[in-house]
Amino acid sequence: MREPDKLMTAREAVKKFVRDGCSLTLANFATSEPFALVHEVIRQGKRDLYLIKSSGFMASDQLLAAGCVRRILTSWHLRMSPTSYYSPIDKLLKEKKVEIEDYTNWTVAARLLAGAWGLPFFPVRGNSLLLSDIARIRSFEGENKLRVVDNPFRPGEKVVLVPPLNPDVALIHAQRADVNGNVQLWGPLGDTVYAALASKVIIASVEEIVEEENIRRSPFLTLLPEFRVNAIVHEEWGAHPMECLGYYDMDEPFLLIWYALLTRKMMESFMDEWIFGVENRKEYIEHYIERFGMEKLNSLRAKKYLSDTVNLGSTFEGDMKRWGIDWSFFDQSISEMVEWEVEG
Amino acid sequence: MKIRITPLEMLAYSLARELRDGEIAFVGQGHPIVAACLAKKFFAPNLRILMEGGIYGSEPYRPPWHIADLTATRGCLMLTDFAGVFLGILSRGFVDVGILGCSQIDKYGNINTTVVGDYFSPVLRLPGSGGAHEVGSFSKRLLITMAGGRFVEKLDYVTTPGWLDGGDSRRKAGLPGGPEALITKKAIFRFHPETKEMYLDARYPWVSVEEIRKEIPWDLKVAEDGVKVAPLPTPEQLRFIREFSPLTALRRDYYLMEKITERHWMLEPSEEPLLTRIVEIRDEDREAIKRRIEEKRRARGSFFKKEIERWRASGQ
Repeated sequence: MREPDKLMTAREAVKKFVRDGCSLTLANFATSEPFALVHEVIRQGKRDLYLIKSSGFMASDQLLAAGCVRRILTSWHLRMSPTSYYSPIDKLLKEKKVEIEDYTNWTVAARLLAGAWGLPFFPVRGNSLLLSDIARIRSFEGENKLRVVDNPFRPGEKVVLVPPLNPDVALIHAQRADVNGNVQLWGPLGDTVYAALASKVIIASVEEIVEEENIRRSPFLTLLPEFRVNAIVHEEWGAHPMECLGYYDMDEPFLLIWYALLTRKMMESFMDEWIFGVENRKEYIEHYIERFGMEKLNSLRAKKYLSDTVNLGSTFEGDMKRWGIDWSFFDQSISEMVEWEVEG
Repeated sequence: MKIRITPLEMLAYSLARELRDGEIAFVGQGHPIVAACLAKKFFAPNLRILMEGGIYGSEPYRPPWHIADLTATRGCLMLTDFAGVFLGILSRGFVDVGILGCSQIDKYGNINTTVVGDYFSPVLRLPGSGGAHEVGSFSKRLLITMAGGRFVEKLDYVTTPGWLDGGDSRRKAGLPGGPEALITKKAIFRFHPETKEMYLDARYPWVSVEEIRKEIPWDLKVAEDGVKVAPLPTPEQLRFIREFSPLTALRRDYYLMEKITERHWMLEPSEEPLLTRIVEIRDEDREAIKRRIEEKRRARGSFFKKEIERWRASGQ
């Protein structure tokens, strides 16, 4: 069912759908992380989240640093400089404040794909997992991390199965959407679409709200349809400091600050300034301009590299015209026509 | 003629020489992408770069920061997703060469990138597998790089299977491909065709075999025809590496990173660390940071001096 009123602010969307203890995925794979929404989750002080993320970059790291996460199912988590700097995940695992379950990028994606398509499990090709510690060492998923069965079609062959995964909420940042919730995104996708569609609720922040007509003119870009999306949040620069294809580049010097924070206290003061110190994305960007100048922000904007327009047209003629028939043709040639008296 | 080169640039160059024209290469961020672009420019113009996020035939104009970076999408041949990459390409055996970094490696090329110490109470948590496990398992050839890792007798965690226990154990387990070379900041190692044990094939000109042995806990074998000296890049190739990827020379150097950041924001140069100017912090932290930066600076000075002196002394 299509629901009205999907357009809301980040604060409203997070308040309405993200609950303490729920499972959460940041659907974007590596590119365009949903920072506007993640910062809102942090500001609202959500706790005990179960973070599901095939490869977690800075946004996941901030969720961990802010103490929102209790469990993490992942295959890769940001560790910029393993030997030097402060890293939330390292610290939290050592203090046993967070539990982790390790997979590989594809096996997390396969679990989400099974969830998105409603399959009972997803088979993983080859037995390589069984030769690694990924299969041997199990954390909170235990027996159900993955299972090995005999291939019924080739007796004697072992097949690794992973169970489906359906996160409660997906946060995603996309290029554009209409107010009905048809979300269009483009670029390298990784497991973005599986993660979003596997989730029970999808909150999408977008750079641009466009007309339904724009969506209809490029329907192949609609990867999340309106009947699956629960909230649309209009956030320009919603993925800063990560990039958004066609809108802006990654802000590496700004990312470097996070990578280079050396102590817990520095990390806290960074978050005080950039997350807790602002009300919403607009204030964040205003603060950025105040701090580093409009020129720096503008220098991130993408230049144009337009895709070829392809023709989605046809003759646009209806059948009567194409077959050369008019109204009299019905009367002349159809014998089974029933005539009935109508009131009024 | 003298050229000045850093060990990481040498690593990227040596890696590039391993790539062949026309291959489909599964490439991650960091040294692999620098090597692949260098190879594409100088030795393998038809190399096809495949990046995990779903980019095939990528022609990056600067080194991507991650495996779905939009700097690598402009003008690529196909944009796809994980099913396209992992099922449609990699596990069907269409990847000719995969490149992986590692943090721990054993003598049969098995790799750990997950954790140092016990999994449940880690000494050091590393990033994890990501796509590495599948790349190592299904690529026709596997090249491994190690910039900051360790050689160990036994891995703390097996993330990616290499030659397993050596000999034909990998084939018996049903895996294709297998590690072909390991490239570090000091040398190039390969794997014996029968035993699959790692051996030293070539050293960088300024590094001695003894020095390489020191890092390796087992009795390292060397190439039967003797240890070669790895060739150096030409000045044009070196210029390409530096212009394309300044961070290959600068990376992991906190002091230099700070200088770049300072320039980027056009801040007044100052002796006070950048972070204390960007982030409000307390005095005790400021002291800790200063100490750390001082250490880094010292380490950097001595490193360059030592390496260059040794190189000069060797008469190259």
